[in-house]
Amino acid sequence: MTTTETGMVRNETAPGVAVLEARHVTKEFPVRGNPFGRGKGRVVHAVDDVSLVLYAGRITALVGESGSGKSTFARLLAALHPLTRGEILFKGEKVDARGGRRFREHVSRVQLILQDPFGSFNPVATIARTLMRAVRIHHRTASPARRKAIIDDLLAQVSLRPAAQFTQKYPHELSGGQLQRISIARALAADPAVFLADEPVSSLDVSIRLGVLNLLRKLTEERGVALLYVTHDIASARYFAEDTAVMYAGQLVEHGSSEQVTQNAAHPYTQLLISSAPDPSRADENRVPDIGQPPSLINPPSGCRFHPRCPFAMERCAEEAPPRFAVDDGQWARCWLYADDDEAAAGRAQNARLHGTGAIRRAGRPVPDGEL
Amino acid sequence: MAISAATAQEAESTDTTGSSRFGWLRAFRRPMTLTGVVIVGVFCVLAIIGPWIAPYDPSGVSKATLQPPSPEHWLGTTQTGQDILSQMLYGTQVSMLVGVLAAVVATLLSVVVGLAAGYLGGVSDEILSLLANVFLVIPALPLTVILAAYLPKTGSFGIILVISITGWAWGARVLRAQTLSLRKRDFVEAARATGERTTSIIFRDIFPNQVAVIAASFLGTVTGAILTQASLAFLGLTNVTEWSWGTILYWAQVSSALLTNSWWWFVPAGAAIALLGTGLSLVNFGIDEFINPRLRQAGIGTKKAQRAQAKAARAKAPRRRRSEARSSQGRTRTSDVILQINDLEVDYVGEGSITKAVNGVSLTLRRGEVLGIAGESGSGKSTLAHAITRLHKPPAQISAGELLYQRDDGTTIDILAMDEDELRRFRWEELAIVFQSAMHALNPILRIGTQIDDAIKAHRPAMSAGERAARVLELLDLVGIQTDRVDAYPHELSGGMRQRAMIAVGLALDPEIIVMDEPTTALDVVIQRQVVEKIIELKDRLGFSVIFITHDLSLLIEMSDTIAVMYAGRVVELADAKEFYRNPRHPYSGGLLGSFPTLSGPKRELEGIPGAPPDLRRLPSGCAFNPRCPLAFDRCTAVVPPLFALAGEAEWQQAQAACLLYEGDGSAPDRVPSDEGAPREDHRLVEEAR
Repeated sequence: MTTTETGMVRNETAPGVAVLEARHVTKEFPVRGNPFGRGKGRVVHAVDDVSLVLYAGRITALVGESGSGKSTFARLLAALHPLTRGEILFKGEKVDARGGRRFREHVSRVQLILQDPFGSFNPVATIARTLMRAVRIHHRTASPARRKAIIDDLLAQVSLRPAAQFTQKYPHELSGGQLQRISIARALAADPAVFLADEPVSSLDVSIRLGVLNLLRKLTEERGVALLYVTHDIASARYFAEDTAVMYAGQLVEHGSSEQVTQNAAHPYTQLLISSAPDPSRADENRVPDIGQPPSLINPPSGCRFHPRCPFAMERCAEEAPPRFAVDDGQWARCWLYADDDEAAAGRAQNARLHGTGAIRRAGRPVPDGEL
Repeated sequence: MAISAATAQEAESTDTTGSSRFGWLRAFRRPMTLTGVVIVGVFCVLAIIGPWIAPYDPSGVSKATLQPPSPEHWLGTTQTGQDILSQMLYGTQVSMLVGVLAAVVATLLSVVVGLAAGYLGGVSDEILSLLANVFLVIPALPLTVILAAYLPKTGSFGIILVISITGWAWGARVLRAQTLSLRKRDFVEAARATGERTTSIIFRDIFPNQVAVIAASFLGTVTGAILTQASLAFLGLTNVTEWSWGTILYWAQVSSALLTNSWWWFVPAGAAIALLGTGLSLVNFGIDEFINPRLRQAGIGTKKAQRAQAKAARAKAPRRRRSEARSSQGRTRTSDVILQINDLEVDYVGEGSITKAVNGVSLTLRRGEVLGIAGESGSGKSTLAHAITRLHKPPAQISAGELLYQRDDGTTIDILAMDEDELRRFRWEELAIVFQSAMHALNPILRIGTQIDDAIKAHRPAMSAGERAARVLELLDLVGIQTDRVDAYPHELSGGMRQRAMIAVGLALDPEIIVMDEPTTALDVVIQRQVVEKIIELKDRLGFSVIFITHDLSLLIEMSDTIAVMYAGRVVELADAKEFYRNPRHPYSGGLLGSFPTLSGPKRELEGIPGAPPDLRRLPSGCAFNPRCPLAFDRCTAVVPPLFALAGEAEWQQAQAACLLYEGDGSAPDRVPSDEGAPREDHRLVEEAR
């Protein structure tokens, strides 16, 4: 019996119903400067104009390096921080999570699963107590006996049986894999329509990652939940998510089906990410040039934020931020290489020589603002 | 299904012992804590029943003036013939009452202010912090004296008020800082994301995790308040007709007890203050164990565990200096071997138990080779790295084995037999270490140039400052840090640059071996790739050998010559990296390789491994992997398989696997690996076994 039956087969069909939609979401964190002027009014552009749609029963991966803003974006979707600009829509309705009641209403629909299972449990509370709190919030009217039954059922759903073996434990008595399953159970208590999983497996041992991912996939499919899978591991996005969005320095730079993005990456940053990932199955030994660090998000580079590191940068890349270019079926990249002119065509030819399969890509079609 | 299989085993591995409702009682195991609790308890009882058991009226005068302790007056009498024991008993009540009530009020104030300021943040934080800071900078004693001078008629309650007002600010600051750091913890974030109310988060998540600090600050304030009360009373600033330890001292002072040598007058009060203070401090030491379920179960800090650890530190494993290795046993010994690890065992000594973290590991490192060690958490790979460098700390202890290092001139030395001086010279000069967290390994207040310079200075005292400076620049250039960053502090460098700086420190003395324990795990893939390529480039140029330890098998296969896979403290497979990737022999290796998603080529099936890595304290019998192994048969639970030599081509390392599937001489023709991916003999064997 292989895991394929339970998990890693994906439907590559049409997306389905949009559940959660981010439109031009922007988040700026104020920088604490000294009170005498210097540094005052400066902000960290953590997330800049990100639009993304999550569909029911479908997994979308958000890939990026640390500091790219991917975790902040997940927290914005969970309404843990207020937006600076833009809006979030839940099933077409604008989300307004100001105030306790409206915030709780939002989190009962959108649940966040955090990276570090050891850190995301109160160390002095038993598992039963932690779960009971979540159940009490989301099943207000249930009787104590009913709540206990709900907890047992939640643990059964994440394949932790018998429940009695886990409920009276403290977090430090359980393994990372078990704790991560319990975080999923805690999220399930709200019966949400959206899961936001922020690096759900990166702090787990390799051999148990697949089990947790398969569990998430099973829950996504069975319950028709939309799942945002935030990760730094683009290879796992290929296997786990239908769609992949790549984030760099607070902006989305590429989006498309996972297979397209990983096998035929259009944006030079995605190409860099892929060629850097350790992968013994790769035949060629192309070396990655030493191209410096991700930029400061307090003073991000003008134009395209990747241009200082980009081997294909042109003059306009430093001057004007590139629009989205649709390059293939459903795939787009925010890169001037796909503009329809001679200089860009030369860049694409050079890009094809260094990366890719040899075929020179065609120019893309600029994507109108409203389209996704 | 794979998932249910996986969790069924996870569930099995979880024992049902552990947490009990009365777990906190175990904190009393510590004699120090127990002593403290008894002392404080006695004082509390005396405070309550004191006035009833007092033999005399404490203010009642008698003719027996200035009597030393006698059967009638156990603690003697004062100048006016008052019984000091009675005064002490009455005084205990007042002193304890003032101490405890003042501490309660002060702690309440600091908890409310500290938690509110820390959790709410923003303007409320600014205002509350300002308030606390103002109270902190007010000189407490003069203020107390002034306030007390205005409030003498209100009796003890005035004093309680004065002490709490001057005593809360420090606690508030500590709690605010604690709250700030707790607020950023994931479990608070998780509680918010579940939809918890702010009050619920403060009282259920933040507060319980601070109980230890709050209790400690409370107990400290009790001591402080009793002392302050005594000082004020001693200065005559309280109602001197109300008996407290301080008033006893006041009357002793004004009656010149010291001049008349009436020690019995002031010693009991002084001793009571000191004893209660000691008792409270002893309770304070043990407070963490009452609160923290993890500490009280682990029994960390119990006398027994400490004794066991101390014993382990003293006991040195039998060590002999060897000039020659045991070539008779047929181990690979070619001239280019630089490090030979023979049957190394590392134990963790706990309370009445010994856990083998590294169990009979033998490895060979050749000159210019990259030996990759892969394993999951608990596999013993990091313990091994620390043991090779002898940087392991108690409770870890090397209990058996040899670490033979072969010098350039052909002489062999056992690292385990080195004394401290030899070891110091050996580390860095011959063998350097690069650990995972460069931020923690680098000193944050020293410039990186200085840190590299320090390493050289310590080992090459003869080198001039100029030569050292040149060497520092050379090293920075070598690892790809721009030489103008020599004056940068660690925090000014990015993660990748810091890791390179660590490598530069490691290379400073031209070592022959570099041990790298997860050196790139904290880095992003792009930076990781750059650092790894730098390491390989330097290795090719300088010719050192590398032991590279990581959980990331894909990375390891790309960069290593030889790969050793560890599971539950043992090496389960050892092979050339390329051969290993083509044909992993041990079922665990295969499962591990099958768990990594690939980026290029067609998507293959990800199989994963059911279950979770075992708990080293409760290893399954036989092969430690057998409960998770899809190919396990009966004998796997009975026999711990040794490494069997396997047939096949090998450039660096003849393949070996610790699996009963390969029992025999390993060269049977039907077990020769094939590149076409034809089904291996393993499967058929298992069919038969079933």
